[in-house]
Amino acid sequence: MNRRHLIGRALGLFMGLPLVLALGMGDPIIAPYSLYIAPVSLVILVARGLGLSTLVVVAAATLSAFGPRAVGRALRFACVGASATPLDRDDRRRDAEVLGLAARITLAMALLRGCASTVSHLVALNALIHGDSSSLRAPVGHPSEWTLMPIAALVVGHLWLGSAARAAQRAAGDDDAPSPLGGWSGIAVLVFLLQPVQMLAFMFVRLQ
Amino acid sequence: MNLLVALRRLAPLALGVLALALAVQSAQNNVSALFDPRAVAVTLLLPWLALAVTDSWGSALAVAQDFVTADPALLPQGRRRASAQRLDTLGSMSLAAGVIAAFLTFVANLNEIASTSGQPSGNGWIGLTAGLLLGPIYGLLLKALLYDPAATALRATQTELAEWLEDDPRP
Repeated sequence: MNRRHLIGRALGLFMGLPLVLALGMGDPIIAPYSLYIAPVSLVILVARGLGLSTLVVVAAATLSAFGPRAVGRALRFACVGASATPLDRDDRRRDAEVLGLAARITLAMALLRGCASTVSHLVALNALIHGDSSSLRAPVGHPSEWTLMPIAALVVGHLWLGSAARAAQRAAGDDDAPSPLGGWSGIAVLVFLLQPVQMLAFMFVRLQ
Repeated sequence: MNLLVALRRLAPLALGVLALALAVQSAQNNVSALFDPRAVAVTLLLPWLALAVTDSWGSALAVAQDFVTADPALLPQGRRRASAQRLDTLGSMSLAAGVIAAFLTFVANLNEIASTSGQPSGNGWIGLTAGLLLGPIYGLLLKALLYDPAATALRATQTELAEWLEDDPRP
């Protein structure tokens, strides 16, 4: 196993990624601090954003489709890259299929949870408009928590699993193969863009 | 690496930005509304970081080198196709990074509004909504005008780019 490759990968994942995300918040205090809390913040992002239920569904779907050996090998490829095992084209093709499926299910589950959240917002809005506080099921917590799910889905599903599936395709020599994400990336991006508008509308109505 | 080629690759992106700036200028005379350094940083850096983490730092460097190669036809076919696929991935990830930037901007703007006393003003709400669009705009610009054209050029077997340039490396 290539140690330099692994160190570079770990640095990018646990230091670079949280730093860039903190940079997006524009906070000069959080950005350097994230270097120290990085592993924790990534775990929080995945655990709270995606949720255990999504991870269980992804695991169940990939295990039932490919079996534990193929899923374990694909997960190993996604974590440590092509340097982990000697190149085998069939294995890498299978890895790409497993990782592509996992990425698609992650995005699909996030979309479904987004739709469920929209339904819950609409019910809460209806209760608010009719002054029916007994049936009010308003989303709790700071609205920034609502954004964790799409961010986590895009980071895990698109940037990690989807990109690793492409890397597995390249390792198998299938450079011209279609994207393992298919149309899911575009759909996810479009639907996730609608979610903040829904959040804003809900907050606006509550304030009024 | 060729500076002229790099400039040529960046020219469509610069023209796209200019076209957007002109559209905003004619509409409301406020070009600065289109610029958000936080969203720019996330949309530019996150895809390259993701590529380096999921593939390798060396492959990310190789893509950057191939991006500014004067004549892609001189590269080995395997490397050209792999780089083209990586550029496609970068374009797709730019769009996703733009959406992530939008959410991060949303949270940052929300915190800013929450830290100000009293009811949020109309400007605050408009700022929240407008800030959401900038990340996806940057992502789409990068995908459509930078990564996709570069990937297409790399995929093509023959190119007239080197002939067009003065310092043609071919004999």
